[in-house]
Amino acid sequence: MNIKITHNWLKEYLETDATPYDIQKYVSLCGPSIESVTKTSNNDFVYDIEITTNRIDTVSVIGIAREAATILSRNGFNAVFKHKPSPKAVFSAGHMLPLDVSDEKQLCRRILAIVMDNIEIKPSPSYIQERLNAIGIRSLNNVVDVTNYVMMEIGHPCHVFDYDRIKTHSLIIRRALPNEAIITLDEKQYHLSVEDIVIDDGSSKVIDLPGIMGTANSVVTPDTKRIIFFIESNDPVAIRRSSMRYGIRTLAATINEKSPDPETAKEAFLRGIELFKEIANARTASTMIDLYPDPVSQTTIKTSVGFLHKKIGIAIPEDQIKQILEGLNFDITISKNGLMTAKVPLFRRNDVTIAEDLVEEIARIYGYHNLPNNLAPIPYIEIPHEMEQLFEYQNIIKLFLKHLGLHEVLNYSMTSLQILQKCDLIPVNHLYLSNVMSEDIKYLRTSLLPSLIQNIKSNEGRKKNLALFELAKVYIPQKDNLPQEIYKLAIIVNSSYPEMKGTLEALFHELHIANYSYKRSTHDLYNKSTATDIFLEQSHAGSVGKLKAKYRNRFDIKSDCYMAEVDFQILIDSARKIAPYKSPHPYAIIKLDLTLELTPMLSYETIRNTSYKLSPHLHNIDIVDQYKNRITLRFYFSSEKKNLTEKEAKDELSIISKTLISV
Amino acid sequence: MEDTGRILMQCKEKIKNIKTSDELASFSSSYLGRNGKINELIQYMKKLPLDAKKEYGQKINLLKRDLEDLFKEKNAELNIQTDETIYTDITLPGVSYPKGSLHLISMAVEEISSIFEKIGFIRVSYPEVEYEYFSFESLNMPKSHPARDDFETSFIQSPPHPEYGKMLLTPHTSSGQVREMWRVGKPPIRMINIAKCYRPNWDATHTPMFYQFEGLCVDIDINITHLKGTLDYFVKKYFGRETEVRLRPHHFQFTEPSFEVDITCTVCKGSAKTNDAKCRVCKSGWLELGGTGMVHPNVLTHGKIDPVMFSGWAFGFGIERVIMMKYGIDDIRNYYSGDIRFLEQF
Repeated sequence: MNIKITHNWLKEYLETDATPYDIQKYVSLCGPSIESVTKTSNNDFVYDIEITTNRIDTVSVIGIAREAATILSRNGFNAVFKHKPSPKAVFSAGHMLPLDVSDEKQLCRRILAIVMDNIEIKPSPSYIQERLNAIGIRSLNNVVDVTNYVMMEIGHPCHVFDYDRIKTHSLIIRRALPNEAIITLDEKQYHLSVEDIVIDDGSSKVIDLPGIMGTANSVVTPDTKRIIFFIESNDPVAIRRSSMRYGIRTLAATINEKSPDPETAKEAFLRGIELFKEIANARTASTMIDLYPDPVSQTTIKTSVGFLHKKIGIAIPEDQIKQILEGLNFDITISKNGLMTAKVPLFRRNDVTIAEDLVEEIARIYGYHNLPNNLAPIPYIEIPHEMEQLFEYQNIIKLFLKHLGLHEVLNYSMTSLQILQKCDLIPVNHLYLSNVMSEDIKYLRTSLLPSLIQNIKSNEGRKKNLALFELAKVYIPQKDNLPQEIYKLAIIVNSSYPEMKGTLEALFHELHIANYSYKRSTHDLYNKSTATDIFLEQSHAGSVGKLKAKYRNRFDIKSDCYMAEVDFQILIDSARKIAPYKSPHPYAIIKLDLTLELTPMLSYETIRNTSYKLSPHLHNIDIVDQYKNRITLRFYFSSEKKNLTEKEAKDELSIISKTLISV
Repeated sequence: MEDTGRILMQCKEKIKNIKTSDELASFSSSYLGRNGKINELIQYMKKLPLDAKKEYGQKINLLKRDLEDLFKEKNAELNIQTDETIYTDITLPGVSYPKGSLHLISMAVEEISSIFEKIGFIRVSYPEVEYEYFSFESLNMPKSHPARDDFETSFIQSPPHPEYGKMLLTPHTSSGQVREMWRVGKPPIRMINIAKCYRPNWDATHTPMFYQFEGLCVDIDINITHLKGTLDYFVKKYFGRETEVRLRPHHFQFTEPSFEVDITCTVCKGSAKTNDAKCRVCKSGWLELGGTGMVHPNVLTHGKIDPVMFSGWAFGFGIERVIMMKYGIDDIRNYYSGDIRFLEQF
C-alpha cells in the first residue's frame, strides 16, 4: 500500500538538515520506498511512500520520522527523532456519562473508548486542513478530521460515534447474523455474512462495521454534541476478508488488515483525546475504557555476531551493529564471546521474529549499496537428462520452423467453453478454474489446435498467407493427481495440404527421423480425405489434415486450414543429431523413370515399400511429376561394389513395375 | 583427305566473328560434337589402310587438341567481355524467401538461460498446475495470506489433495523452489526455473498468463553479497555493461531479508533526463526489476535442507517486464493475442 505524508508534518517528529530529496533518496535505499516528492503550493512537500505489509509501523508520520532519523544520521546528516511524551488523559471532575463496551467472545485484541462532551463542530484549524488536503484526504470538520489526522500521524485507524445517537450507550462486539443488512456512512447497503464482525448497540441494531467503515446510523453529524472516541485492535484476517468481500477498501481497512500494534492504538487514542480538547473544545466525560485481556509482551532474539557476519557477507563491527539496532529501538546486549540478545520493540514484534530479521535490520541500515558484489563458487550440477533434451530441442525446433517461414505464437493455456463446444471437445475431459475472471479463459487446453484455428480467424484481413506454430503444454486430467503436462507442437497453415505435410517432413528430415509413416485417421477435426495419423518409429505421434468444413463454418473462416499436432516428447525421442554415416561410393547411379496411377490400393507408400522390398539396388525414389493421380517417379539404382549395367537396373524396375501394376 | 592445318586456319578465321557464349557453343559443337568435323574425319579415317590410319589419327588428335584450346581461349575471352558489359540492376530485390519469427518470450528465455548457464545454473521445469503446498505453504505463506485469496490466485475445480491442499495454476515460479530442493536432496543448488504463471488479473498492464524466471542458489555460506554479485552479473549481461543495480528493502514471505531490485533506466542510463527533459520512462533514473531475497529458513526446512548449515538466495522476475525494460515493447496484451502484425516483427 502507499501513503502520503507532508514534509512539515514529518518535521514535527524529525529534526534534520536533510532536504526532502535527501530524505527520499536515503530512506528509499534503507527503509520504506519514497516513490515521489511533490512540492505543494504552500511550500510544503508531499511524500508518496510504499509501505510493505510487514512494516505497518511505518504507515505514519511518526513511523517514517523514526526510520528517517536512524537512516539519515548514518548517511552524514544531522537527524534526531523528536519523541513527544504521550499526553495524559485528564478527566473532567464530576461529569461522568454512562458507556458500556463488551466483547465477550474476544473478537478484538484491544478496545479503547471514551465519551467526550461539549463538542463544538466546526472547521479544523488551517494547518490540519492543509495537511489532510495535501495527502488526499478531504477535510470535513474538526471531529472527523481528528480521526484521520491521528491515523496518519500515529499510524492506527480510529473512529468516532455520536454518543446521543446510540441511545443504549452500549457497544457490543459480535459476529454478524446471516444476511444482516447494514447501511454504511456513504449510504450504501450491504448484506453481511457470519464471518463479519459488527458492533451492536444492545438492541440488535448494527451501529458499526469496525475497522472498515462506520454505519450511517451512528456517525457524527453537524449537530453532534457528544462523541464516543473509539479505537479497536482487530483480527487482521477477518478485516481483510470482510473488506475484500464487500469491496470496501478504506485506508482504515488497509491498515487494520496488516495488524497494527495494539500499543500504537493506545498512543493514537491519547493523541486523539488531546486533539479533541485542542480543536473541538471537548471534555472527557467518562472513564477511559481499555479492554486488553491479553497484552502483547516483548520478544527476545538470541543470535551471535558471527551468524550476522556470515549472512551479511562482511564483518560489520560490533559497535556499529549495536548502534544500528539501538537506533531502531532494539535493546541490545553483546557478550564477550559475541553472543547477542536483542529485545524487539513492541511495534516491530510481528515483523522481527528470527535472527534473519536482525540481519535485514543491520544490513539495510548499513546500506545494501555499501556491500560488495560477489559471485558464489560455481559447482558442477548435472541437469536432468530429459529436461536438457527438452530445452535443447525446443530451441532447435522453434528456430528451424522460424527459418522455414513460420511464425511462433503463444496463446493462453486456458480456453472457453464456447471454443470447446465449437470443436466438439467434451468439457468434462478438461480441468477448469473454479474462480474465473473471464469465461474466455476457464478450461485448460487438451489440444493446441482450437487456439490456432482462432489465430487464423483473428488474423483474417491482416495477412493472406499464414503459417503459425505453437509449442506449449496441454493438461490431461488424472484421477487423484496433478494433470499430466504434455508438450505439444502444433502447426497451422492456410495454403495447402502438401505445404502442411512438407513443413512436417522438413522438420522430420531436419531431426534425422529415419522412420516416419502415415495412416488414415478418424481424427474428428480433419476431413475424411486428408485425416492422417503420423507415426514416428512406430509410435503414434500425432495427426495432420485439413480442417473439416463443418468447423471452418463454425469459426467463420474464409480460407481452408491445414494443421498438425504432434507429441513433442515422441518427436524428440525419434530425433537424432546426425543420421548414420554412409560412405559415398564411386560407382555409377542409373536413373529410370516410371509413371503410375495412384489408387486407394496403390498409395505412394505402398509403391515405396514394395519397390524397396523387391529391388536390392534401389537406393532412392524421387517424385518427378504429378498430374491429378498420375505420378512419375524416378528410381535410382546403384551398387556399392561395382558399376551396375543399364540392363541390370531395367530388370529390377521391370520386376517392380509388374508387381505394382498387379496390385 | 582434308588438310587438318587448313581446317584449323579456317576455324581461327571464323571464330573471330563469334560474339556470344551461345554462338561459341554451337560453333564448337560443329567441330567437336557428335556430327562435327572431328567425327567426320574419324569416320573417314576408318576407311584408310592401316599404315595411313596411324599417321592420320595422330593428325586428327592434334587438331582436336588445338581446337579445344582455341575454344577454351575464346570462351575465356567471351567470359571477360560479358562480365564487363552486362548490366545488372543491383537495386532489384533478390529471390524472396519466407521470413518466420520466434516469439519475443522464446528469445528472452534462451538468452536468460544462457546467461545463467555460464555461471553454473541449470534450467529446470516444474508443474504449472500445482498444489497449494508448493505455491504457498512451503514458501512460508500461511492459509490466511492475502495472496491465497480467490482474487489473487486461480484455483482448479478438483478435490483437494489430503496433504498438499487445493489444485491451482501456479501464481509464481517460486513453486519450483521446494520441488528443486527435493529433487536435488542436498545442496549445492543452482537453479533457473522458467515457466508460465497465472493470476486473475487482466487489464492494460496485466495478462492472466505471464512468464517468470526464478533463480535459486543454496549452498554453504551463501550471503547477501552473492545475491548482489549475481544480479550485477545478470543485469550487465542482459541489459548492457553500463547497467547498475541496487537493492531496496522489501517484504516477501519466502525470503528474509527481502529486496526489491532496481536497475538504472535503460533509456536515460540513470540520469533521469533525456534531452534535458525529465526521462519519460523512469521517475528517478531507476526502473524496478522485481523481487528477491535470502531464502527464508522455513522454506529450506520445507525443502528438507538444514537451515543452520545451508543458506541461499532466490529471485523471481517477469520475462515480459525485462523485455519491456530492454526493448521498450510495453504493449503487453499483444504478447498473447496471436496478432500476426506483432509476431512477424521479431
